Amino acid sequence: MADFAPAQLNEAGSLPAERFGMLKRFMANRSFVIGGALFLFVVMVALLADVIAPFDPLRNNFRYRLGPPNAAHLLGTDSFGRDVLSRVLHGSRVSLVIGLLVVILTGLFGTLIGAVSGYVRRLDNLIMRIMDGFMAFPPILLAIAIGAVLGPSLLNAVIALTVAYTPRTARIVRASVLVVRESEYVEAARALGAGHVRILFRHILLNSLGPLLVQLTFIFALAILAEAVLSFIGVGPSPPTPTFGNIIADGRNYIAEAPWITIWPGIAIMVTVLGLNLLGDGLRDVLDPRLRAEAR
Amino acid sequence: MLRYLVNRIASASLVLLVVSLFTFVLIWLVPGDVASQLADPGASVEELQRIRARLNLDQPWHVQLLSWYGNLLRGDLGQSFLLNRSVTEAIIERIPVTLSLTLLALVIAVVLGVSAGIIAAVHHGGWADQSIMALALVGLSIPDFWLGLVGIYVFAVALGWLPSGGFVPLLQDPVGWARSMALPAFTLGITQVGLIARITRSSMLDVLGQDYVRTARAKGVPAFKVVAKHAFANALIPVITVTGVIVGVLLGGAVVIEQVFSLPGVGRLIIGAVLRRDYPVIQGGLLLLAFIYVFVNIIVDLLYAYVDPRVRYG
Amino acid sequence: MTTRRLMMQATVALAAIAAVTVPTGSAQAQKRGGEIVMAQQAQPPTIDGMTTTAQATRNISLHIWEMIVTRDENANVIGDLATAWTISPDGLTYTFTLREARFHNGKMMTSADAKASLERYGKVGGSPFMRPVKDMTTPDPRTLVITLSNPVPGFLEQLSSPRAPAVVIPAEEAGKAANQIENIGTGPYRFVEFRPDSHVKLARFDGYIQNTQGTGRDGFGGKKTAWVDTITIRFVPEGGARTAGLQSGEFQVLEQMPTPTAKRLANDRTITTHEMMPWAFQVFIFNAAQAPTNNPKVRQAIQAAIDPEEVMAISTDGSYRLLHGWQYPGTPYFQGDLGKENYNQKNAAKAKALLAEAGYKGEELLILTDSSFKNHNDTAITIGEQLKAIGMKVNVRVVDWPTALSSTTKKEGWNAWPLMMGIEPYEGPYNVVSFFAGANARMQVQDPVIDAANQTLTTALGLAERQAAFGQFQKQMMEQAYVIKVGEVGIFQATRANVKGYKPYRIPRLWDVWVE
Repeated sequence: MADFAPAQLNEAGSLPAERFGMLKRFMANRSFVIGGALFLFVVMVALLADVIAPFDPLRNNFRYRLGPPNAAHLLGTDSFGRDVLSRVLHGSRVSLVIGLLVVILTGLFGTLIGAVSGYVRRLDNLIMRIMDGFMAFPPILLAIAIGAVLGPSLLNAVIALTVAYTPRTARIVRASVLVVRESEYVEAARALGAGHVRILFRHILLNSLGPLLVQLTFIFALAILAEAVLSFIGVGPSPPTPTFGNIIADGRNYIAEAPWITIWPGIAIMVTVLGLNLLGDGLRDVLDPRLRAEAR
Repeated sequence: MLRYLVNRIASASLVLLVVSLFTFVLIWLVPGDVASQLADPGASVEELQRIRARLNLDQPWHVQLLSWYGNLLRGDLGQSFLLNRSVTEAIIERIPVTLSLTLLALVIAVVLGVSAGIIAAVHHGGWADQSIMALALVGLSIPDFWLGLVGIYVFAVALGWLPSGGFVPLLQDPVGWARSMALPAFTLGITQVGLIARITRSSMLDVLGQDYVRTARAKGVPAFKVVAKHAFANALIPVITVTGVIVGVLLGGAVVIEQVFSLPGVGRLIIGAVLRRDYPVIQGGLLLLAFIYVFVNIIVDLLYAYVDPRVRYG
Repeated sequence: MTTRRLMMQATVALAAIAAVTVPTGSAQAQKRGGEIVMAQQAQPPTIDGMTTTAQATRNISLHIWEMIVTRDENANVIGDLATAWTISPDGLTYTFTLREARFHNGKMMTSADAKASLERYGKVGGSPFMRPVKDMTTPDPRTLVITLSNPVPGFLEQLSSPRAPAVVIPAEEAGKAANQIENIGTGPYRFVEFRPDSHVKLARFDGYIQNTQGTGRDGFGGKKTAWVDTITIRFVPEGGARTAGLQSGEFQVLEQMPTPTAKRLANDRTITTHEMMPWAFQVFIFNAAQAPTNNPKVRQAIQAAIDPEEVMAISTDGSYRLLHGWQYPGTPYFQGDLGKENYNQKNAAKAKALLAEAGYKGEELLILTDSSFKNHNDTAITIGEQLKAIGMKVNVRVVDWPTALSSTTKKEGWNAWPLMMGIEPYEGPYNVVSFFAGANARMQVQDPVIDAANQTLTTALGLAERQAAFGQFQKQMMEQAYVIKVGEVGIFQATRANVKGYKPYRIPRLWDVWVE
């Protein structure tokens, strides 16, 4: 499941020419509004974690280990006696940072590779075969292998996930570039003597932004799910850093004695990912009318 | 067609070369080696070196690379450091587990997803539609390994209905097999139900909007019959199209689910090999996976061309 | 394939013998038959017992094979395949008298098998203790003579250690490389199959010949009786899954149960928990070659700052005891209170003063640890937090076990490293001291006092002299704070209540255990 989001079924698409009333259309889209609100909520929690968390997420207290929820510790404590609520709140920050970095890097490299591959025909075959090589494995397996090589850290988790998801993004960008490249206005630009770089960036990429943005929203969601898996396997950001995955990994050995450690971060992941999936649906409905039928 | 095939195989070989070089670099870069598994945590440096010498791990990398490619050309993927069998054997004996898990999860996902999608489409806009679609999206947002942990807690620890993990071969004990597979397959499948439900629903809505369905309705054919006879078969086509994609996704998910439920599948084999530094299994396993992926893709594309006359390859 | 057929023939041939060797009932109502499924976390890297020091293999291999000499319930050296031995006054010649034993393929064991096994151990064995062996002879089928090139007072301790057990295999197998042998031993259980990531299966060896010298189970030796028909050892990485399996009756024995689970299930009448205390040392090793821990004052500051109780309570989940010594109480090399003043100080003021004296200016302390062993991980994190409290800049880097192990054998790239030492203190003083002695000393510097102590310990023939040397080692370790012994770790093992006769030990022993 961590590998798939609805938007990936359709790799090509284009931005509607008219942008008039875009905001209005966004606000009228229920998925976008609910998803945006959920996601905004998680972002606010992450930003304000220092203020709202009742405890230091790294503070041990061996006298109240595996403590059930009570008035002081609303979500109980973990095996170090750390406050689970504080760890989940701070965990949202780390998980969002990882997701965001993966989105930015994937967007950057995916666009670059996809654009070059789609526009420069001679390189197309070579680049796409290399991408195929990376896509021959489930992305999570690839990320785990790379994570093991680089060692567990926040940055390495970002690198591993970027390598895992870039080929898919590159494919999508390439597909839109192929479509746009042959369109009339690119022909027109070419006829007017625009250079390759200008055509690529001004005309082609700008018009591939819609599907890319939709795809990146889903990659954000996938990255948050995948971070949890990496931490669970032991190749994610180094403990004691609170991330959703690390908290679950800490709790897995105590699932019968202290289920609260495992359950809450899982729910936090669900809320975050649900927000992003809704947001992605909404974005697609508005930006990509070709696919609008699907979410009717 | 023949030229197309030759082209495809040539580029497939290129993909495999990329993969094999990638895995070699991976192994070359990864710190630590299998001696860490063959020794007690408190083993002395000398004890560790004895193991390395025994396994030729002290050879320079180019010697290891050449010997690996040499063996590969003879069709030999090598011998696992830790599993007491060849890499090929190790993978082949794992395939039934991963296949059981993936196919069962697929059946669960398709049956539940298609039913939910149809119900939602038929009640388009009603509360059933809305709640099914909401649930579908929630399902897509659940981390599968977490669901597995919660499942173990509820069904194995608290209720004691199902085993907590492990695999029973189908031929050895069919009931045991079903019990051992129930929780993992359901965990894995449930995460794809939402996706299939969404696709089924939208393609159903497309079909229900088509002229011939409208005609059938106008002619007074009962609603149930319309859905069953006309809409369903046509709506299934997009679902079948994405099944290939979903199998890929499920195979990826199986990697983690095998870990949670202690199932001896291919994913656990390779992750175990990475974490334990069983180099031959990492190299051979990843290459074999890529090989299967690449050739399954070629076959699927050829089938498409055969089935759908509109698709022509030049 | 051929071996399997051979085994089957052997089994058939042995059916007759089995009728004779069926153990007759004693006072307890032992019951023959049934099966035991034991779950353990790790899968063995190999079944070939002598080639590895890994715990996961020991759990299995010591059911299949037996050793010439082994350890009793209190870790003292006793005979197993040897009934008696003599050591020449110069400490060079060991003469072993072997008992009658039968391999799982039906062949009777002779001294030639023992010799060939030890020769193989010299080549592929997990430990290097065969190095001082100059010569081995077999004057008759029941006698093995080992001659050393120089006296090694710890030789019997090494030969008898389950570390990488020097087991006896048939001479025909002894020419084979590591991991290539047929798994044929003289033990009470014979090997059936190994399915990686799933299980190992063993079956009772009905032709087993007991050690009649013993009166019952004694450590890894004594008179062993196999009651259950088959033993399956399942590899289950998830702790929760292991517990669930035990509770549902899927498993009968857990090699290790998390302490909170054991406490939760203390009143569950279907399950019996067994505490094994002590199980291991929890130590915290410094890299004395890299700044800032190359400064003894910085190490002493950390020693003064640490609260071992918090570390142990968290890392062991509550199964621990606070002891500073480098041997267990009640063993010959135990040093009493020597060096105790440097243990469990919890003195932040002293720590800060020492840091100031050392000229510590916020250099990063890199604690390297691994996620594969919970105790390591938790020790690193807890100590890290304690050191932040005295104003140190701490970076805890959690990697996987292979990375941690290879990194910590290097002189750069780490400052401190937590490690559980389990089998080494159990074995006695030798592998504890040698771990920190010589060119490969794990604190990355050679200390003349420790090296001298190691030299005396491994060559002096008088026990008192060796004990004194061990005292010097312990004193130096405490004063120089190369390594902090944080405490002693206990573990819980668990069995279903219908599993009778089980007694926890270094490995879970499933002989002399029956199912009601």
